[in-house]
Amino acid sequence: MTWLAPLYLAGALAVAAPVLFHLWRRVPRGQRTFSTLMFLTPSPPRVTSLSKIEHWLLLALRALALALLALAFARPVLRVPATIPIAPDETEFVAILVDTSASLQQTGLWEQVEQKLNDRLKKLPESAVIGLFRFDDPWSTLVSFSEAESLGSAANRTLVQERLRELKPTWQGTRVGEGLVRTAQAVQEAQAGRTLPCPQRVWLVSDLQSGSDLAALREFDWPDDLPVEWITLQPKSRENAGLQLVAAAVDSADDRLRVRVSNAATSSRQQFKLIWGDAEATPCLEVTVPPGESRVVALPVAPTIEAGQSVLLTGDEQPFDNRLWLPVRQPRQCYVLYLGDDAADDPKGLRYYFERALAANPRYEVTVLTGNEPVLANSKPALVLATEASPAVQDLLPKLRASGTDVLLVGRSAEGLRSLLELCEFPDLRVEEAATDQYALWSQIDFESKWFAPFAEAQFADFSGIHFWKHRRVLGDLPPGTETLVRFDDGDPAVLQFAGTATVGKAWCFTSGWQPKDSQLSRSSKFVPLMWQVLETALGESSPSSSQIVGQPLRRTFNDEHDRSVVLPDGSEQPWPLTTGEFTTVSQPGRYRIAGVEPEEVIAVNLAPEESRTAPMPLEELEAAGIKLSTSAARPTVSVSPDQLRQQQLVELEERQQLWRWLLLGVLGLLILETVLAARRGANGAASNSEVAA
Amino acid sequence: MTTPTGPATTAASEAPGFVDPQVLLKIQSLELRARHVVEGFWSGLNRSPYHGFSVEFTEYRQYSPGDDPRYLDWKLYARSDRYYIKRFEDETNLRCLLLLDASRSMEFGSTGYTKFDYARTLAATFGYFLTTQRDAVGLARFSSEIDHYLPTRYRAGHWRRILVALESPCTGQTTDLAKPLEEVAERLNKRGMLVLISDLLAPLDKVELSLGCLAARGQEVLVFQLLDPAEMSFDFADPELFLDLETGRKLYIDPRSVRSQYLTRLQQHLDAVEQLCGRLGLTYRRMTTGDQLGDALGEFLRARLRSGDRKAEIRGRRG
Repeated sequence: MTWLAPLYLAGALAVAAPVLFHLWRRVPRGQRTFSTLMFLTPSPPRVTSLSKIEHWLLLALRALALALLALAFARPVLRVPATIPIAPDETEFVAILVDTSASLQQTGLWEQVEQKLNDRLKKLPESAVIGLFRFDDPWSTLVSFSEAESLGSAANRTLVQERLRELKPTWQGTRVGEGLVRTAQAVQEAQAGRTLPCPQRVWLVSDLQSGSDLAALREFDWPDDLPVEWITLQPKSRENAGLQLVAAAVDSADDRLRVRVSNAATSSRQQFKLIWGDAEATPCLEVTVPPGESRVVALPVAPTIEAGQSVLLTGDEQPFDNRLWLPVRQPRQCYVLYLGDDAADDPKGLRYYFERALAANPRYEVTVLTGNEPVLANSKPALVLATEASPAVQDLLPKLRASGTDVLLVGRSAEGLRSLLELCEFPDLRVEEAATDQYALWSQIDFESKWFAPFAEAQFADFSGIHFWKHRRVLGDLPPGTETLVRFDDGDPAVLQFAGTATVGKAWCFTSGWQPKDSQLSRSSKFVPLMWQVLETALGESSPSSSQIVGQPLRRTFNDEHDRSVVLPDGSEQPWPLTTGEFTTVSQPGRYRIAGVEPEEVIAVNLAPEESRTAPMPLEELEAAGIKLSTSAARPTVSVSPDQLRQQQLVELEERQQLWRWLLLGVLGLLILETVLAARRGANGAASNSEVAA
Repeated sequence: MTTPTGPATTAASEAPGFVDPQVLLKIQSLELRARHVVEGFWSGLNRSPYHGFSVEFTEYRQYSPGDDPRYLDWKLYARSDRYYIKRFEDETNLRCLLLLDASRSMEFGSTGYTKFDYARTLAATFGYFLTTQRDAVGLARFSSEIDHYLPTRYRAGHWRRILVALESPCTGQTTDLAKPLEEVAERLNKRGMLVLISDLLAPLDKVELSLGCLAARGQEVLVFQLLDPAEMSFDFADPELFLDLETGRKLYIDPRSVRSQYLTRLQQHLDAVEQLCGRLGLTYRRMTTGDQLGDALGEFLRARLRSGDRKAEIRGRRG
């Protein structure tokens, strides 16, 4: 006799359970902690009547019932000398994995997919179980193996062909690695539970362009018995040039958009023309890009706003990646309030340099208001620069600070700075002029602070060229949470940062001004970037990107819960998901507008740059990633080990004998007997007890 | 140098004005407890026992060429017509390191407070006493290794740091005297006094070597072995599951059947500890957490007296 599921025999150990329950030593309920048990020895448990077995017969019956149950679950098989013929299993798993990425938008490629697959499907044997999967950026199942197995062969094929006809290439990237891995996992899942493995294979229908992502394959051990057949899709022309937006360089002096024009190595052309929008009449630039190379060019200013929405590359045979949607450069409106007496055109004052430093930036449009102008409701200042404690300032500054506005205090004299600090509710601080021999320098700079983080690199960190002729010393106990961002070389604080609260804004204090009388700061190259950092720190957040690629969700955080919507490039409108804060239906290139925000936000969405790299990928790369490529369309063979064969024979034999049924009958019989015996003993015990009572 | 006299020690053992530990340990502040014990102790003394323990040692050595002429004693030269060099031994105050066992076994207590509570009050008492005398105090808290170490110092704020270290709860697991004591021996570079407060409920084979090492380095070592009254009597009634605080081991124990065996073994262990200390020349005192804290302070003073006597004896021999 042998067993089909011998592991269940371990269940026979359950026989010990009734015995153990019977003899279970009673653990004392109380527990006492004691410093050490090194002088103690365990006491033997006291034997009670509970620890003796009294009903041997009942115990034996229960144990036997459990043992028989375990035997039944182990599926016993009586060996017979003759070999059982195994019914041949002709099933074969064929996983069709179709690439629907943007590169399939190349002229003439998608037509080949249906045609080639239909040809292949006709040659497949009836017994094949066909699953259909697609991949671009995400992978998805179109016809699963469980669905295919439940249908008949003909219905399976019809369903696959129908789903294929519904399929269209998208604008997403090509993550072929992930597609293959998840398809292999789907095949393995379909094989699970079979005693003898069936032949299996994957048909990969793709152009396999060199921009495909194989990263997922590196972490996956590809099964040896799963060959991949690549059904080649050949574009009509191997010529292709692409267009991508180049991120603006940090040190770019102008606000011009830059684009990269790349030309495939297989191209024969090298002259291309960029035009605005769709109109041939509005030429933009002419570019010469030799095959296999790329050029970055700066776009001129668009003639009209409509024309400036996109730029089109002409002179290329593959149009799918020739249009580039351009982001809208919307400078962020922000207001800075100046509280002081300086005239706007006085080069001896602080305001003169501050205004000029914050002028003309593609990211921000800064308006400097003065204390005399009324502060409008929609022009709440992001930052207040206070230099004098004039009566008007004395009235305004505490109110602004209480409303959460950040304040920058720069005193031109010790008394002036002290008054400003007092207005900001730091009355305990005293200020006096520092005695400087010739000049002081900034020496201890906190490069981890937001203000100075951009200067942390060694080439920017040198502030020793800036001389400070005068500075003030802030004395007294600094309020908790105050940080000294910079100190002078004599140890005095140069820039102090006072912590804000939920309602009160932050305050910064320069103990030396940047005007020429106090220092050389305003005339150093560090001044402008420093002032922008000051402003951005006060604004609190950097502006989100206005350009991204297809498939990436749009992420924005809105402070209120007003209804907003997203207008898609095709004109349809979808509501903005308030709960998640990200809009995921970004499936086509174009301009997405978020309506309901002021000003309206426009995001340019373009193809992934890798999709333009349409030159075929060398197959060695796939093989290097562990993929077993097959060139023959023949049915793959499966090697079956003797163990698997024996197991299959046992399964067939067990299905014929079905000994487990007899064992279950035995269990039922034993349990009935045990119940009768136990009832009789209970009745006897009760009778004897009543006799004793009587 | 003022030599302490007999009445002082007698007064200490009589301990007038001491508060019952049950009451004392209800005081939240460790500093207040310490102050209470020390002031209670002082109030019972006729003569101040805490002056003049500082060691000043002078020796004359005949001048030899190369010696610094600044240290020539000209008065002696006038009297004896010989050149003598005056040698000073640093007149330092006492340096005392308190070694406090913070292992889990010290967490046991049957009297409403734990052995650790009592031990840290004792340590705070010694610390406060020494600080008021301007002696340098240090603290090493240990279980299987040292978790707090404050070197012996007399300086502003040091007493506060010691209190903070004493007030932090027990974090250790097992008592392993050998490793922390070896570490202490390595750290101590000057002679002084060591006060070990522990239940010493650990195997003693390694401890002998470590304590000997401290004594051999010129340290005056006082060992206060602290036990709970319940540990001494083991008068539990019902059979229960006993959980070892240090190892987490559980044993089913019927106290009535194992009590006599336990008491015998405990006594053997305590005798072994006492013999070990005697052999190594350490001052040993066994206490239970029901004892008056002032008694321990008296013992501490007596040990210092002995220490002073011993130095005087050495000086006498040299003289």
